[in-house]
Amino acid sequence: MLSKIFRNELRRLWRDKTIGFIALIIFCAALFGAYNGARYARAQAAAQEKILAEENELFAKMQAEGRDIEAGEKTAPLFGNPLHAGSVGLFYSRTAALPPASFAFSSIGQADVYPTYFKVNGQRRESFMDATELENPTNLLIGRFDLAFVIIYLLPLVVIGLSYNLLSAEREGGTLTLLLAQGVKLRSLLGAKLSARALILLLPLLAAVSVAAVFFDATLLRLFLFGLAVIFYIAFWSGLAVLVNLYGGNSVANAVTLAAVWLALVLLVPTFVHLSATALRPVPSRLELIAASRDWQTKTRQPQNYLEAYYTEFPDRRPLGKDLTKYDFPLYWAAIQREMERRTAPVLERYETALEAQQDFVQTLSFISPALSAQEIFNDLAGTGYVRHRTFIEQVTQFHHKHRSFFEVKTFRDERLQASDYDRIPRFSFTEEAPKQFFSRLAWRLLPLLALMAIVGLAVWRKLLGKIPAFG
Amino acid sequence: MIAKIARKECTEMWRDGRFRWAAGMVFLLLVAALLLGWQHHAKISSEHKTAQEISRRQWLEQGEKNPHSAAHHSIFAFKPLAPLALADSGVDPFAGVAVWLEAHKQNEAVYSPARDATSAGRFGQLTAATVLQVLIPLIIILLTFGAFAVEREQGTLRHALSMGVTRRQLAFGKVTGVALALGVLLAPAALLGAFVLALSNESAAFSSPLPRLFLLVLIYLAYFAVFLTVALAVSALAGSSRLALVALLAFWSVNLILPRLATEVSKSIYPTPSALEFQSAVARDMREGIDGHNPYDQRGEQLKQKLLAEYKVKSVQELPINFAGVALQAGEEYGSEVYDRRYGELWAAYENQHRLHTFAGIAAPLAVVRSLSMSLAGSDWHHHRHFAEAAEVYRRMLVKRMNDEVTYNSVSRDYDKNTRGRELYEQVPDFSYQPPALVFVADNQNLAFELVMIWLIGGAFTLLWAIKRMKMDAKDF
Repeated sequence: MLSKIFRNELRRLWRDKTIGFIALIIFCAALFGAYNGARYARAQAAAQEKILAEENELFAKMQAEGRDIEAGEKTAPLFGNPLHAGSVGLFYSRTAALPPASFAFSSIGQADVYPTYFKVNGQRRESFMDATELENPTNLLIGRFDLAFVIIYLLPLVVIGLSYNLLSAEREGGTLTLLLAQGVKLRSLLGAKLSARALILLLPLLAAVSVAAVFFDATLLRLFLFGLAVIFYIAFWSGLAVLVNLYGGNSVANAVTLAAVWLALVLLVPTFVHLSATALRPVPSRLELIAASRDWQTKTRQPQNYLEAYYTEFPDRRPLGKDLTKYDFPLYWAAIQREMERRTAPVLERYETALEAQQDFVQTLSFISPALSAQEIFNDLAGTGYVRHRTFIEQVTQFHHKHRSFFEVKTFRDERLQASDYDRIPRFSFTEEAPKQFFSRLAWRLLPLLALMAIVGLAVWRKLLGKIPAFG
Repeated sequence: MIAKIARKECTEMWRDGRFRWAAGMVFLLLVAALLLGWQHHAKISSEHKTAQEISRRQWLEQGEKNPHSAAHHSIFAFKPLAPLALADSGVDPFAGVAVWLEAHKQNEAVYSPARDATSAGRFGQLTAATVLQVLIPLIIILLTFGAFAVEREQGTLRHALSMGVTRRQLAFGKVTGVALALGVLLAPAALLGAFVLALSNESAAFSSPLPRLFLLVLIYLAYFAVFLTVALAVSALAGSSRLALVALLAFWSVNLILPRLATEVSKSIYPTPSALEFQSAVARDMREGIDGHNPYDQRGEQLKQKLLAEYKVKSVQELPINFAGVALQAGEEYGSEVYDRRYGELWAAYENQHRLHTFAGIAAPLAVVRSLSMSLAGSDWHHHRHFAEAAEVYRRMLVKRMNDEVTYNSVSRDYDKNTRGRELYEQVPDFSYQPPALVFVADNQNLAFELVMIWLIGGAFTLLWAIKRMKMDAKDF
């Protein structure tokens, strides 16, 4: 009986020409979304590759010039000497870039707001970590059309469009009582109708994602987790549609209710969460940071003092036979940078802690909006979310220390670099999270979605149990 | 007659508990958005003002140093918020708030609020503008989807028309009725908005925001009128009230979604470089030019020879002016050319993208209204660019002033001994931003204004046409 209803339902839906149209729209939208995400990731990777190639070329040129100077074929220039440890360490940058992750095509997420590269040199952290990505702020405001957007915003609308009159249509057509009188259980009827609609919804989506996975970068693990998240999300909205139908309203009332719920859960609640997060877990004003560090710069009069302080701390690095009162810009600058970083470190620490707190707050509150939950999960899967960005920042900080230590001793000892040192200059390479850790972390993140789906499912079940079938 | 119909419609609507409930919610949201916007605006405005004062103090107190070093230290320029931005924050959450006006570099504005926020912020801001752009149209749809369709289903449509009411009278009556019902909801909110605006307009630099507020109100009224006429037309033509509702909800959803498509299309037709590529291009261009700091630079050598010939002396020391200053300023001017070209290309691409975004307004009125709303509120990209350009003009003035000091008023040819102090710094006027006048909006939003007119006229004509073709009985479908 069930399969008969299911097949009949499919046939009815198919005969309605708009269904084919809807399925096509879902397929095209999903594929277009994936394409946009992939294009963004590719552009990011290409730009990074180009910059790294240029940088390697520049350093190779400097190394060659250094060799010539060592061999005596060239005289060391007073400006831009490739063997001057201080200048090279402080003013020549190595780019630390965050490569797009596998599955990046699924969500552009925060990749257009969080910087994905830093030009690391020996100066203090803030001097290069202020880097911003270049993007038309209007594009950032309006938002991107990626696969995550299609799933989070569009699919629920389609679910609502297909299921708002799940029961009410039958009721208004007078066929509900007939069906129930034939011994069909209400829940079987609902199940069959839902399954038919789910098929129409999920098949084109599956097709689009499969095509995308073939052409763009995707691992099975991430595809699996993605599939789970999509299923939970769609199940939530389908369950909601059923729940609204079970309350016995007419089609118009159902449509209005479901539209209002979509508006609330997808647009309003995340906005409220954002508001509460910025109000209850604020990040200190960046202007404070600017004022504090420039205040210090303004008041610094005697860079020699910081230099002396350094040599007191590291007496074995004191250069022999050098008059330290004579102005040596790189040396003074190196000492000043060290001191400035030491002073602004606690301020920066406060920012990072505050940002972390705000992120945790949003993560906890994502229990109240499936859209917010899903967005966080998709961002994480695509590697364009907060966690990966945070990991990147930590790795860049470590790289910065490595880079500085490489040049530090020779800088302060006023010793020359050797051309062979160029082979050992540290290079940045991002280490991804271990798959096991990634999987367990994301499995946890699926919990809010699962919980929401379960709550709706429970409500539907209870309503079904309490329903008198004949009343319909 | 129209007035009678209008009154009847309005009363019916306000009697409907669901409408009262929905209207109440939207009103509360609007009030909350305005108050929150006001508080946020006040806080940020005062922060920026204080930061600007601190920056000026730091400039004056930076101590004795070579004027060119002072230009390196320079000041930060902080973007003031436009008064109406409390109603529409526009791109402000995504654009930087502070620019470092140092020598040799035209920097981007840094520290956009979005960078210190979470992904929840990407779902939208709670401003009066979002409530007006997203929620009110939904209310309008809920009020009007059944205006003709339900009457037809109940049989009262033919009844009304048989009483001698013309179709047009009926249509105008319903339009007025819904407008009245909405007016009850929106008028207090508008008053609150004006009140809040008056309280917050402490920034003397901004010209009176009243003309902008007036235009803003007109734009939103036009937007609501478009939805009203389209919804009534659909209600008149649809086979059932259910179909009318579904069609209108679909229109409302497409309205929300189409702008994102426009974003993608605009980015693929008018691509812009990433920050890495931009900086790389600038660096490459700079290497071709004069490096004012490098005394061994080749082009600097050419400039030196030219100057020696002009003053008819044999060495740089014999020049009546300090060559170091000349070289620095020459390097700076070459840099300015590079930046003008590169930023010019970038901003031209953004401008083209903006045009495409507005074009999406042909199918989605939200695109047009959002663009116009931001522009009138002073929180769109064009205003951000205006600020960036003003800051750059100031920067070039400051750096030239310092370089000229080095060139013409050096106390010593030795860089470190050629120091000046506060008396020089005070001669540079404080950075004071003059926001653009209202005509600036008109210049940038020609297409948008035209589209609003097209939608208004189109909506009105569609409604009139629909009324003529409207079937009077449900059984006629």
